[in-house]
Amino acid sequence: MELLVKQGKVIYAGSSNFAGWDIATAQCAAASRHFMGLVSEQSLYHLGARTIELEVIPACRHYGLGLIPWSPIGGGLLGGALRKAAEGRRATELVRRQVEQRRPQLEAYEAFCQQIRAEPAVVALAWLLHNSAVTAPIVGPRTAEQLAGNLRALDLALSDEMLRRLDEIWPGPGGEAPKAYAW
Amino acid sequence: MQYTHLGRSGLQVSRLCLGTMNFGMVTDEPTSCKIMDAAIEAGINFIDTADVYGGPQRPDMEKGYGISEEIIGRWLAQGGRRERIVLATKVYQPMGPARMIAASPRITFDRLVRIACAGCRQTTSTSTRCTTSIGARPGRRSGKRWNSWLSKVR
Repeated sequence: MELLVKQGKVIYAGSSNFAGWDIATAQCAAASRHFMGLVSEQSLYHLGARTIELEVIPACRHYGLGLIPWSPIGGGLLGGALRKAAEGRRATELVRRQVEQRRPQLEAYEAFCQQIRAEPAVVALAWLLHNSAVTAPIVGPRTAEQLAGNLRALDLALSDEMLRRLDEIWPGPGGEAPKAYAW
Repeated sequence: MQYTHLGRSGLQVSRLCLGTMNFGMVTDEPTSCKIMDAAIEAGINFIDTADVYGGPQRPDMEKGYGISEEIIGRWLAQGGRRERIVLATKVYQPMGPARMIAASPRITFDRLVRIACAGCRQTTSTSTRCTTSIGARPGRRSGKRWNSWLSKVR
């Protein structure tokens, strides 16, 4: 990667799906060579998948990596999956299975979104945008109309109270390692 | 649009990144271009892709392929866009000739990265603001060799 940067083929190097310790190891190896190392990490991160709050996010913060969450709407799970299923809209097998597993949470989530008059997908993106560790969620619109929907997340302000409610519905790991599980 | 720095880099990126995993597979090329047009119009300057995007993907696939990079490359070549876009791409799964090389236990991950990077530049025909990511942990293929992409590339 160092050579690719030197040759101008890439400007920066990043990582994807790295564990916290991978990031630490990479940055130490880079530092010993006076190389900048990684500038970003792409990880799975959304309201329903918050495991990276334990180790990856602290590593990103410590080493100054930008965090680029992939699957910010959980592959459609957080995009109003319950309502859409009720309307008979098709969904992937994975989403259908997750809907069944997480039905009570989804019911609470979609009711909350309705209450604040925002689309569930927009709320999911806005929740990520409210996290200062997050550089930019990766949205995967299949149409220009879906992209327009994604863009609305930039204008949705979530109050502290709303963020607390989202934490209740979709609890994370309880903070960062080790305090999340040790005491 | 809101912008922020990408980590400690000097790049200013929009706070939404356009993912292109579907380009070439779920989304055809004209629609993909419409999405990119709409994105740049809205101020999005950050596009994410990977060499395998636009084709089927599974972590255990022996060989991946995709045309997402090519679609982005043709769109960028239309002019006035290259300088405005921060393009992030990723390598991990063996692609084409890299597969044969990766199949050899003596070839290190950094070789795969160099080949993939050369391929990326061909497919996207761009020389500006390319950020390459290492997808997943290279160690899957070669034990502790993942470390070598930093230490052995010269």
